Amino acid sequence: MDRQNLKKPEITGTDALGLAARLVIGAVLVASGTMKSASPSEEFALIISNYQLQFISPDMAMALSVFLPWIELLLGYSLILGYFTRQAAAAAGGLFACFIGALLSLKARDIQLPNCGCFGIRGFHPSPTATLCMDAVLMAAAYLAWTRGETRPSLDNWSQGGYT
Amino acid sequence: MSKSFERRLWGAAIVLTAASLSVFSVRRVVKPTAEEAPSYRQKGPPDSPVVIAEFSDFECPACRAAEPGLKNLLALYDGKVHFLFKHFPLTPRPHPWARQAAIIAECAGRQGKFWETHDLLYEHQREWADLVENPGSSGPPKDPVDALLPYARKAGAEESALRACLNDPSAAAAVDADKKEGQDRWIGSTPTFFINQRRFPGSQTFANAGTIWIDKILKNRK
Repeated sequence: MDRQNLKKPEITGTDALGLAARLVIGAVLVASGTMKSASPSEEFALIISNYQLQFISPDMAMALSVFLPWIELLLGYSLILGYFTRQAAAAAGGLFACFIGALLSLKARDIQLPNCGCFGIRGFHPSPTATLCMDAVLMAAAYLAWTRGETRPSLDNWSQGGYT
Repeated sequence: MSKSFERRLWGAAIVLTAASLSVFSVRRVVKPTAEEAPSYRQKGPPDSPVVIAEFSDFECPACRAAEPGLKNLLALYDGKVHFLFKHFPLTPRPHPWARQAAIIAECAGRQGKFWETHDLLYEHQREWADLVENPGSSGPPKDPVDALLPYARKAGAEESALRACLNDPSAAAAVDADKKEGQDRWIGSTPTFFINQRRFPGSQTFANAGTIWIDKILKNRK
């Protein structure tokens, strides 16, 4: 069938919800990844070390401080552009679950951090409770983006020969 | 190569380009800064192979905790290390009196009593910081100068000269200039140390990795 004769399918309410979830998580991840990558990695490594998680050695904290911003940026742009959307949404959900776990462990050990490191060293520093709520909402949004899959517009749709 | 696969590759290129642009548009290249401070805030021979600059805050408990280790390290590498102290007061939050403490230390320094005041401010940090954080029934002194000046006096600084210095804006300007330098160097916490320009944020990082780095510098100089 000639593609030019195809009628562009309507965007349904479900699609719009999936798209909104994708865009919100993507924007948050891009903002946090960008702010983290702006600062020297040693500073971010110190914030990671301040969580005092036994399985994270100083060398691992240093490696995380370099790679985590890139992971967030790649996931963020994948979600915004709709590239491997379901996989990116699942990975983002996993990332938020890790953040929630780290914050709950801080609360359980009664450790107070001046900066959660969510948005790097200079960005916005929400309180631990606000961060937990934000991560929980983002995890729910990641689930929504995962269930709604390849909502349009997306690179996934385009790569399958459909409309972006 | 199928069209779908080709488009997937294009998608990967777009995502990677967008992420790279985000990183490189904001990444601050922290240029090496010549380590400078007034002579009264320096220790050790200026031509030493190792130069350590500490950005610190008198009201910060981690900075106080770093002091014994730092003193041991300076004693261990006596004659091989040039040490500079720089102010990085986290005022107004979380340390509301840190800037004033830095100005008083600066004024005491102009009378040659910087290190004595520095030591007393850290030694008695809990005492004066408690006045701000846990005011008693009488409340904290309205002016931090009243609470902090006794330490400079005890260090041997002369009170009238101290008060004259406190009215001179250049002492506060020196503290603010250090703070600005620290911000330009993207310092995120105190204490932060620079050993020959290499960053060691936090006393633990400094204690664990700093000595290894110093040994490496000294070994390479031989």
